[in-house]
Amino acid sequence: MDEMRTRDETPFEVGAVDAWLREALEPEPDTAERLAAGAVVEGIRTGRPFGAGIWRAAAAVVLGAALAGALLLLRPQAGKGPVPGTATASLPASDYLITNASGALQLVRLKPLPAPAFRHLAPAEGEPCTTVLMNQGDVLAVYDPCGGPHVLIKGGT
Amino acid sequence: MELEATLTAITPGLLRLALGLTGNRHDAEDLVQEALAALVSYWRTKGPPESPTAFGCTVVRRQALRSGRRSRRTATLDETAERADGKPPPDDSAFHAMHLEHALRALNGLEPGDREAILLVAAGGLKVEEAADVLAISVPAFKMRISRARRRLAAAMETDDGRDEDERRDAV
Repeated sequence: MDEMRTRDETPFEVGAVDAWLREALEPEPDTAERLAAGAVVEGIRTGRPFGAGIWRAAAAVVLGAALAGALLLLRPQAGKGPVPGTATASLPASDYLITNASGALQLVRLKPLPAPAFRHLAPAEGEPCTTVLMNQGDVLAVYDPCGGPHVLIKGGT
Repeated sequence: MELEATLTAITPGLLRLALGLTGNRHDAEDLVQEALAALVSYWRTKGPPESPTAFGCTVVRRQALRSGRRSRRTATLDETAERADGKPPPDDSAFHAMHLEHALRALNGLEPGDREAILLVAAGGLKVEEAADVLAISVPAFKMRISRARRRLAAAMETDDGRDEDERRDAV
């Protein structure tokens, strides 16, 4: 044990003081978890290769158009469940944010899922990203894999 | 190396470090949030850094210095002495709680450089080499600094002990 002697020969255990400091500075139970999850979400939002503001603005316009298109496609299908999509194209495996059944934000890792659970629409011509519809229980999440989560829609399946 | 797992693993240490530097839980959370966002951004563009913990500690320290939050630490020291769950310590842990408060009080009395050295290792969980890198000094220089810091911490705790004893005696 790393140990030093103070003036009156009181043993001063470095390890013990370090442990006291760690305990005294211990964060609240859920704080670390909340911050870590938030960082991933924030990274999804800001970590894409759109460093300059103009690219961000351009991306926002493109994504907005893609979402508007997705919503238009969804409307006629209301109450009928997810929109059947075309065959699966390649989608990047990454982290995405969805809302779960209770409405809370939830981070998910996108993986290939069976057809009934995962459908997507073919991208409109000229759109760089594929708009994805993901059926998770009673939650239908609409987002763009290139742009991260944008529209979160609850609906029956 | 998994990003999510790494974030989960390093966040508690970053929070301890930030709280030690700022003395304020809200400011500490802000600093850690900035550090984690910087880490995620770096990770996604350049891949994982050599030591994510050291990366995060560097950002936390730099942000703390930049924002000048360290100057407020003494005013909010009482907050760090509170238990994380906000409850008063039970009677049977009064002695233990006294030691925690004691260590924090002594830590806050140290010079900023000494305080940083101890916090990086004890709170942030960095290795000596990583801590030296964060402070941009050589490993031998860091070893000297932390050794000196711990001696001063020991002396401060001893002084504090004497003062507590005097106060107890006066009270009787």
